[in-house]
Amino acid sequence: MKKKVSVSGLALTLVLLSACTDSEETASAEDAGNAVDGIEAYIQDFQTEAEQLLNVEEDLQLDFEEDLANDSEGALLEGTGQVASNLSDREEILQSLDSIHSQINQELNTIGQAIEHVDAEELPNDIEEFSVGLSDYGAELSQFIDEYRHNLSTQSEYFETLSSEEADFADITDGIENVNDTHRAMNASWYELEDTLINMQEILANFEMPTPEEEGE
Amino acid sequence: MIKPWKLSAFVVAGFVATTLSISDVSAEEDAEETEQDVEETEEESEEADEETEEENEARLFAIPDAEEDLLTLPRLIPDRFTYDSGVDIEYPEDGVRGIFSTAHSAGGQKFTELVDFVDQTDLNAMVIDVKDDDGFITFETESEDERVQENSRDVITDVEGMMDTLEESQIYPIARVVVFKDTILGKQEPELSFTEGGNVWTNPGGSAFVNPFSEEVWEYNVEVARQAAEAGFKEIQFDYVRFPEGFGSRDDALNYTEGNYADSDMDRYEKRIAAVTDFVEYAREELREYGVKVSVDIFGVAAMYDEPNIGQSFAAISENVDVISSMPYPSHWGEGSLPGIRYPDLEPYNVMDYYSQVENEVLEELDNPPVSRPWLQDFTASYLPDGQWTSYDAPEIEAQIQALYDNNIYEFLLWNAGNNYTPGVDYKLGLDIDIAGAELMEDDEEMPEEGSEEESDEESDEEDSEDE
Repeated sequence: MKKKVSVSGLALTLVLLSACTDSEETASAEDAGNAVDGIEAYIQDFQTEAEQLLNVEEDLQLDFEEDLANDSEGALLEGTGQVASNLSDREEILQSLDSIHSQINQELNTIGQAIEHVDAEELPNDIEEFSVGLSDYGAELSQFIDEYRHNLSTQSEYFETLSSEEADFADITDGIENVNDTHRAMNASWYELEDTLINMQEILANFEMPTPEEEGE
Repeated sequence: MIKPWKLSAFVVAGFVATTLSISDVSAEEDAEETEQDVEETEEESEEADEETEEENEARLFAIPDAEEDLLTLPRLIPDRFTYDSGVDIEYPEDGVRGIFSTAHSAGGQKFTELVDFVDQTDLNAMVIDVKDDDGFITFETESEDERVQENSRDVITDVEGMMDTLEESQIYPIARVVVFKDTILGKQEPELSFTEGGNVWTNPGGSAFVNPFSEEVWEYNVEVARQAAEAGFKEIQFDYVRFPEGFGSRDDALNYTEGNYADSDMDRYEKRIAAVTDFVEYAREELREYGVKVSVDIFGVAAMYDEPNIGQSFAAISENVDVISSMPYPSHWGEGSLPGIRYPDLEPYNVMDYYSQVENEVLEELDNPPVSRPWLQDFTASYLPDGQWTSYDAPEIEAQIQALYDNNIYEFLLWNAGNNYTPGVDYKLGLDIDIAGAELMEDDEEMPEEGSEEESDEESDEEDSEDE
């Protein structure tokens, strides 16, 4: 099991992180330890947000039905209905995933600085391997976000089409087919994301960062 | 009476029971082996379950199945997306209360009389034959389908004018399309029908049926429905959506194809039910882009049990339509066939009350129940034995309506084959009905007595037939 640094906690991590980003030369072994904890928390956050993405996505059909039922009130025409909220909620989640991904990168950056500047004896032997492994998987998180954004964009364009007064029945059915095709293509990306997060969690679980107390003994 | 298909089941069951009793020793050995097999299968199944559970535990997300659609076509599609026939008639807010009109009535002088009748009462809809009981399409369409062109007759000579009149009075137009009873098509193309000794089979009334297993027949009827929708009808009502009556007792003697159902594992009864139900589902989907509602006429008795011989399952059909119109005419029930009712024609309230309760129970079980809109008897069944029928006048019709209202059914259609409807009927019976808001208010008017069996002084001598 990974040993935790004595100063843990997300809030403190964030404070330390912001300090790290201010100066490239301030990364210490302790900073690296905090960054490891931070990454663990961010991966959990990423998972939670991704789950939420799936949940909101699942509501789209009901939201669509509700908007069609309230079509005379302009739900689709004016983009004021449930579908618009659903799309907007998922865009917000994507922004949140973007942000989490950036924060993971920042933490990795901190670890990179520690590798560069801290005496090698103060850091675990496998920290570089740990950092590279997480970086590779971090790139996959970014790829997932891009793919989902494309998927969401297809959906937005579809509903934009339906907001036109000229839209007809074929627009509804053809568009549904297109949305479903793009959605199905996302299926593999979801499994890849799952594997990525599981692998990142495994790397974290198998990595030990010495605590400051241990260093002093 | 035991139905033939039930009889077959008894015969099979009897054979199995007999076979078991004459080979006891062998049966015991078999039983031991079977027990072992069951235990092994259970163990394997448990192991598989555990593996699945472990796999699920390892998963982070409930990822939808790769083949699962994110969106499906919603049931309700706003008018702006669907075909615009230019005929602007809304679905009656307080529910449909309609009459039947033959094409000859709708295309002739009788039409004005019927429109006036509806205008002057609380009625608001008219069911008009678009494909009649012989199989003729009753107006000239613009269809490119050769069969439709060949079988169209100019009975309703001015469809546009008819629609204008209905629009002016906001009378909700329903197109009746008789589907599988089709003498014309059957005789033109025997391969689409049932043949016996090289000839197209006809029922005792001389009518031929086309084959519900034939998808060509489905497409033909849906094309007729499309033409009706383009003409301005707001609802397509399919009638005779079934195999011929008595099909179960003669199917072995008839030649016909089972089409795409031939290789199915279903038994012959299941295949019939599947074919009829699938037609309805297909028709409804094909008509979505026209924004029309789809309804089906069905035997009243089908709500009590499936009619596998003719392929009708009330529940299965109901799942695939917007409106279900059963035909529980009091005159059509046999003596003592309904509990506590000896001569059904004499007890219109009780028949309709009993039927409505049965139907409600069936519909309550469905995920998406359709609107119930039964046909009511507005004709006198004087062909029944004396003492078993009564003249149907305003009280008998109101009794049927009252029974529907008492069972929360607020739509109905009146059947009179000659289109001569009883005057002086109170169709709303003092109820203010807001179907959309589901609010029902009783006003101060006194309700007619339940179970009216009052006979009219005027005896009708007309011999009405009904659609089925």
